[in-house]
Amino acid sequence: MQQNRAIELRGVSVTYGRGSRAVTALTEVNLDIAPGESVALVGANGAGKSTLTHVLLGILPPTTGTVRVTGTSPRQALANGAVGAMLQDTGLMRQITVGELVQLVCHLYGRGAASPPQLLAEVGLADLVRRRATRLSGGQRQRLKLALALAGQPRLLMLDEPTAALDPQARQAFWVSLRQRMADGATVLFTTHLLEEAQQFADRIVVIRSGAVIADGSADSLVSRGRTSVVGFRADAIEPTALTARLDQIRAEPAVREVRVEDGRIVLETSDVDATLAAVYASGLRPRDVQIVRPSLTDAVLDLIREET
Amino acid sequence: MLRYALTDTLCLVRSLYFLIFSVAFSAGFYLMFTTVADQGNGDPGYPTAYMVAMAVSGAFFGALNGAGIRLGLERGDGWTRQVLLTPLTPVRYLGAKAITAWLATLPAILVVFALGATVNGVSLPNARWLAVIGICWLGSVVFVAIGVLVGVVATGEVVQFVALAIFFPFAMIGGLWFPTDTFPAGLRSLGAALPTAAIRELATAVATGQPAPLGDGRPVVVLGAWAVLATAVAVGLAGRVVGSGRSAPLVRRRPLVDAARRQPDGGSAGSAI
Repeated sequence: MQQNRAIELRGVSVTYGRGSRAVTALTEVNLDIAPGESVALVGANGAGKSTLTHVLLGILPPTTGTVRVTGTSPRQALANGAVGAMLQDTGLMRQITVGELVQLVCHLYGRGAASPPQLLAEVGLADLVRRRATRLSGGQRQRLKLALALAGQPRLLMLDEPTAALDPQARQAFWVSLRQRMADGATVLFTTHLLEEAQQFADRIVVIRSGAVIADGSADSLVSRGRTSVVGFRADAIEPTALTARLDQIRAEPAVREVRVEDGRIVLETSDVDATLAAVYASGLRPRDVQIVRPSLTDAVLDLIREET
Repeated sequence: MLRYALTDTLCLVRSLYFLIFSVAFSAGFYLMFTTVADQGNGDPGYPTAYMVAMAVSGAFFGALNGAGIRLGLERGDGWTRQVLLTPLTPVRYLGAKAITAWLATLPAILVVFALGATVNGVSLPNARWLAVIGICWLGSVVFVAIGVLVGVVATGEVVQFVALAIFFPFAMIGGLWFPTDTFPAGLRSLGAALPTAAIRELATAVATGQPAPLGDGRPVVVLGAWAVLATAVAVGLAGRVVGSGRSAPLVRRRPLVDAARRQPDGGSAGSAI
């Protein structure tokens, strides 16, 4: 029997309002996420990341299309305890302590729930069980929300900008808590504006723009898909006509997109640095002071987002 | 649901706002107008009647606080959204809120009655004490329905103003705080049609040992009508809000923020990657 996908979206669109005031938040989104995958959802503010998360959690019904989460409807998946989630705009119960809150939420999950003391230790809040939940710092609150998301020992975690507004130390502590779950095979879908996070913790990165998925692949594939690398170097002085001939020879290499001379340096834009350097040596030039600038994931994603504007 | 309601009740009684307005306020008023200033002008039955009135007053605010204010604040600050990410369904969440509110009526009832017995020497046969407490507590179901209504229609800090805007007129015109004999006839008629007045009249009749506590049956009819009306409207509105067991409408406001950020052409408002 084929194993259920953790997430399966088919032709999902979401439109707010009607007529001339209608705003399309998601357009024909198709997305499959396999069990055990870690996927980052990236895009500009208002691109539709949070809307997509809300659709996956059954908070927002799609206008068209079908949504399956762990093989069932989003609400059923939540009711089964198969999904744990952290959203940006959730709060904590008033007048309750950290320990009481974790115990209460674990109780809501019934027999499949995690052990509250273990959960608190896992997220680093074991020393704060008697502290009122609403008196925690920002980082502590996020870790408490992670504990609540993990209370049902879910197979799928959906995290909407989980480390937003955390300082680097708190961010690191957060990912340390989560990494063990990933290692244990949990599926994780998270939205983020921090592309280093996406690169470090996601198997796949899904780029969303104006409510549509415009790219989906590994960080390496996104980087190589877009912007080229730049190779710059100086060459021994030779006759201009000889230099032109050799540059033409380099230009013939398929990976090389552009060849130019800037301030006495030869600058090559290329999609394959190794092949280009081989072509440089084959041309007879002896490069000195070689500099290679590879594109970052940030550059690649920004290119993708701007591409269609 | 019961475990959630019990934990919620525990949190509620830690709230200074609840303790002051529901318990301390009704207990303080009772002592002030029966010992410091004798509003009953020597009427021996006054401490008993005012005890019932202030117990009903405290129960009413307890229910408004337990269901209405707490629900509205939780919807506003995002706890509702957070807890509905667990297996707790919206219907069970609202059910737990109703139980919390009903339990929240008890502290004021018990404290004011205890003060009546200990400070003012109100003495009733045990069966009558139980009957009076039972009428106040069972009648408070109407207050719970009104409280849930308040929490469903108002969110955030606004819910406190809405709750007080209902509490003050219902308590004053319903004759909970001072006698309504001097009110204009129209206002007295209006007061008699309120659930606060109906519970007070029924419980007072039992407490003071009137031979026919149901009287002409008007308070029972009023209470029954409010129970049916308030419960029907609360369930109906909550049903619309909850939407067939889905959490979406209960927490729908915020997802729209995402769309609101977008430009009219559907484009992105920024590129803050």
